[in-house]
Amino acid sequence: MKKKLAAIVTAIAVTVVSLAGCGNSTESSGSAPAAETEKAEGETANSGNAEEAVRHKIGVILYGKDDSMGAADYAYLNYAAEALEVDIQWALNDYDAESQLASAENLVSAGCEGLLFLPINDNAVSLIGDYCQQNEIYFQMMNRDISDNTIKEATQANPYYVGTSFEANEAATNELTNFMAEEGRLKYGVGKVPPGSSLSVRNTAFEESVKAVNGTILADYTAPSDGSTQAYVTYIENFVNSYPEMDGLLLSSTTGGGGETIMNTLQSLVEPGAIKIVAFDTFEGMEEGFEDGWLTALAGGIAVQCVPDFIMLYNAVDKTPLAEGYTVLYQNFIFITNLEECSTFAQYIDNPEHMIYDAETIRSLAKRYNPDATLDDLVNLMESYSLGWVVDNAGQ
Amino acid sequence: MVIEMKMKEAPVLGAKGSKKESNVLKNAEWAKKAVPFLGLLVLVLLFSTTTDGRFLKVANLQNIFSQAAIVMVAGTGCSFVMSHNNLDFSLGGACAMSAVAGIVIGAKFSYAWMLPVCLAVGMMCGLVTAGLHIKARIPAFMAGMCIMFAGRGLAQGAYLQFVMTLPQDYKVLQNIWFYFAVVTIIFLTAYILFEYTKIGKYNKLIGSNMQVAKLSGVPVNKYKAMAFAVSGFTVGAAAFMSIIRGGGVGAQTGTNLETNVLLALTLGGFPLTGGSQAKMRSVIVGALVLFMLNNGLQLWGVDPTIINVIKGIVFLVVVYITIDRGSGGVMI
Amino acid sequence: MDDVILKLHGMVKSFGSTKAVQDVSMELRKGQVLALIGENGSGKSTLMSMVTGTLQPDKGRMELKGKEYVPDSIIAAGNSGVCILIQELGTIDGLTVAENIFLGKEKRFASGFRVSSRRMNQAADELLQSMGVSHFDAKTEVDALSFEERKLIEVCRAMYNDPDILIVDETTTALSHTGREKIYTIIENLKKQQKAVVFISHDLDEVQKVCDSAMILRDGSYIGTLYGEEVTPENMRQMMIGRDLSGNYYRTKGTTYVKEEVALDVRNIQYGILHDVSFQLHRGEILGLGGLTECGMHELCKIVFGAIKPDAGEVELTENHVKITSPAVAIKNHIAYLPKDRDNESLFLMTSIKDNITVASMDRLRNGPFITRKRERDLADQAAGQLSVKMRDVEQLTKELSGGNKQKVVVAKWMANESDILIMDCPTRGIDIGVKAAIYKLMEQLISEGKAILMVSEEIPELLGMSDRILIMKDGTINGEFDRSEEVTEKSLIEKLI
Repeated sequence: MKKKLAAIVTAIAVTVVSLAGCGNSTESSGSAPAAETEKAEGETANSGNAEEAVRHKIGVILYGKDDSMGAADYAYLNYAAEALEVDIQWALNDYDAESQLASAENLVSAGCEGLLFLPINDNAVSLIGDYCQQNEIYFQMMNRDISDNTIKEATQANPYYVGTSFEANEAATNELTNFMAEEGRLKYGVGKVPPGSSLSVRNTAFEESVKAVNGTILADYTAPSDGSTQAYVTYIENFVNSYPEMDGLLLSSTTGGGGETIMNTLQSLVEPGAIKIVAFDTFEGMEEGFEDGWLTALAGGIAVQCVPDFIMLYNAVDKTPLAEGYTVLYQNFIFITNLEECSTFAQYIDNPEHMIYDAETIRSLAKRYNPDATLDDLVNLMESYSLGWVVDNAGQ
Repeated sequence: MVIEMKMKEAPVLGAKGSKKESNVLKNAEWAKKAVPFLGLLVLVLLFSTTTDGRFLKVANLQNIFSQAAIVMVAGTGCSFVMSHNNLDFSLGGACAMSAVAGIVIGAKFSYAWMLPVCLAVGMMCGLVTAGLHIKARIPAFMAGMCIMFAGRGLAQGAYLQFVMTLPQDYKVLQNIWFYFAVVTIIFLTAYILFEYTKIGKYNKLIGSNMQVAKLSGVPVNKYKAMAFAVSGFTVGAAAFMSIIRGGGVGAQTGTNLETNVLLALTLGGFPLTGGSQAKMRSVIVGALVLFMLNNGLQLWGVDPTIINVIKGIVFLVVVYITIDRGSGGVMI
Repeated sequence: MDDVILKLHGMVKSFGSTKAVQDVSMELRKGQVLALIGENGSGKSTLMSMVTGTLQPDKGRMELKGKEYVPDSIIAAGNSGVCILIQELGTIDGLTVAENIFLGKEKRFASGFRVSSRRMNQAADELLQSMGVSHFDAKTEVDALSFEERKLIEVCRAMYNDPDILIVDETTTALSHTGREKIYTIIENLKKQQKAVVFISHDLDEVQKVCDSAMILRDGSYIGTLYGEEVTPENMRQMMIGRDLSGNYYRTKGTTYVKEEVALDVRNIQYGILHDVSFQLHRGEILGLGGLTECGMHELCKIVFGAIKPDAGEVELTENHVKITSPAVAIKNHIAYLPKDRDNESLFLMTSIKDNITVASMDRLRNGPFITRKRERDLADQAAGQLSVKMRDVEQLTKELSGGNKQKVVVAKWMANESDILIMDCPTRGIDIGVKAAIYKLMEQLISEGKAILMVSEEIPELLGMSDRILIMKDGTINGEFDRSEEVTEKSLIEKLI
């Protein structure tokens, strides 16, 4: 009986304590980080030395760090945090909106003053946005646009929304289709991503770009959402059997082994070069693909965009935002069109060891280190991003 | 001579001997039962003193409860299934199905339908699992897995087909009082069913020894099915909470629910093989331990990949201490 | 003294509260073929498991060829020269005959790291030939072989070790005539080579034929040893079954409460070896049902209770013509069943005494859908008190009770449900005299109240002492019926039994 009592008492105690003072929770939890920030500023003012200031802490919610994109983000952001002298706390492996929200809650409790996250879906944006607003925490998203208009408007009205960034997909599809058209290939098969996917803009962008070059789409497929590669074999076999005149494939996504599978299937069905590929993403075996004449161009190298996102958030957290309201940044793709570029890409871009933006560059965009830094500086830097620029920059 | 032997071989236990023995047993039992509570206490003390007071902040404790609420609700029902010595692997999938059905029908007709639809679909999933297990004699965890895969597939498919975002009006429910109310109602109802009606009593006895239960007139299959129905019902409720907390339904809604529930029940000291030692409070204690551990480690700033390793170790230690090694065997 | 190979001193082994082997000593000499006999559960296999190292004794010590002998596994025992042929299958599927024979000894055929299967097969074939086996060879996979052929492989394995002591544990029951003959020949050869054999069997004629001595165990205790001419089925049977207490705790002679009214009608039951079994149970009657364990009487109990569905036939409650088709129906009609296997079939060991008592009476305790603690406790307290169960309180776990008290809890469970007809399968098995007497007294009280009892027993004196009528079963049919009278003796029952 005693034990039972103890059980009930403990359970009730915990819940009651957590419920007590629910009403004033916002003030109490919200004021703490703010106070810390003020204190930090005070100290900065006193000593006049930025390096002795209290370090900021930024939480990052990422799906994982095991694939090439995640690994790159993980490495770049840790480097950027070191450069800007902030602590970074990671929350990985959340695959639904609820878990992302739970991670946001825990990160804020752990003292993070800003959140950078890759939302799993629109609901996650809405939940974390609301939570951040309640707790007066700045948040920045990366790699994602918001497709639901209600959520988009609500987020844009949120004073703690620093901004988001996404890939310049339309520009890239145009570029890829042009590469194909320049080779005189105009009869296409299109590989689409599932319509609800965050990348689905590429589907329509390809259709538009094909019209622009006066090409024809003979057939298309939609990539399986379960990530199995077996389906690609069937798609490509059907394309080749039904449309012998097809001479180009425009692929919206080739991650998760899709690119290799499609290339291997082509090799078993047609003569080299009979059908060539332009595609988003880079994949294993692309060197052979260029060498043997299966690939025309690939677009990739966008993982680096997390760094500008981080800089935006840092400035906001440091109370010196680069811009009023929210900002949307566009990330250029890098195009690979031959074997040589493959190896350059592998050396400088698809390599988490190599920092595309060095510490000096990163610091020059933070007002704490460079009071003259502007949003335009950041945008200019992003626009100059290309394979040539990366190589030149590394050479210096 | 034979008479003598018989006298010798069955000595009536002296009062002294039996008392001593049972005291030892009692202590062992007590220690076993106390472990989850001690664990909870240790966690609270540990994190309270090592996080600059962040852990004990009201907002943080509220967060922990909100995070644990869905697992508490689903675990409450699942404990009926576990008490009769089955594992319900359908939870995540059933949750996804219920949530999808609830929000899609809600969007089409009226959001007033959302809760009843969630509950009905959840219960139906439970009954399907039960049917596969009892009628088709498929092991319950496999039947559960079928539901799990089906639910996953449905959610992913639906995610591409429908907009599954909860309207702003319903966001008023996104607060701790709502979660607290649901947990309280579900837990109290289930507690009464578990301790004071045939559903709970029979299921625990089936878990203790199915053969004895049969020979004591317990309609085993009927009560097993009821356990699955209760589990399905609470999964429906959990799905509804998940819609509220998740602001809608995503492709991954309900993922890992079964794992988290199993973890929570075990951490709370719920016997893995069911039986009369099963206590409903394990759900609450276990869910709190699980999410406090998660929260506290994040407050410490522990690398997320290591958090899972620590969780795994804690889980093993708890199982090591509390598991029954063979019926009537040694406890610790 | 020199010719003693194996000596056991005061061996003791318990499983929980059950004492499987109780202070047993034994000597085995060169050239001796000793039968180890006793009823099921008398401790034969447990004793031999200690000799072969699969079980460790709680007390006692062993000497092999004059040296301290402490085997910690069956392999260690084998290396010391003690080999066993077990009741169950001891071969491993998916391996060949040769691999099974030389299991664990592959090294002998190894050159470097490689095991030469050619040499192994050759050696195996030689062994098989020496045993006169020609219809399969060393390369055959054992999966393809029959049970009997696999047994022969085990024999080969044992013989390859060249054992000083061979233990044959009920191996022959599974074998055909030719298979048995092979084993007999091996035993004969071992005897000639001055090795020793321990032979465990239920077939007393076989024992007489093969063995030169027989040691009898009963309920884990040593009863006696017979030598040479004394080894006869009659002598052995008498010592195996023994003579129970002849005291006065059975029913007083001459009293009867039997009424004309039939309580339960069992008609033409057909199931497994049960063949066309019919009988009627009257109110106020104890109907004794006796036989050997395998005669089908235990299954019959379950059929009467509705727990096993018979292939044909039916059980009908005379009072209201209800057919008993499931335990739930039986319990609703106040029929009780006390299984023989208490720990596995009648008690929830890890559960409180209270829950064990109330499980069959839930519907009577219900108040609407709810069952309150208090009502449960009251009923449990009352029923446990009625039977004076020795316990702390009704919340105590059942597994902590002694065998006798456990059985009292089982009886209390059925008393709590106001049972009218009781099916008791070996109700006093393995419990001490005090509780035994209490149960007998209760049985008499029950029939005096007009209840009916079907009592299955493997103990002849119990059948004689308690029953108003005795049915003896043999091989699934009723082989004899006796009314309570002075003329009925143990001997007349045993004649119908075996």
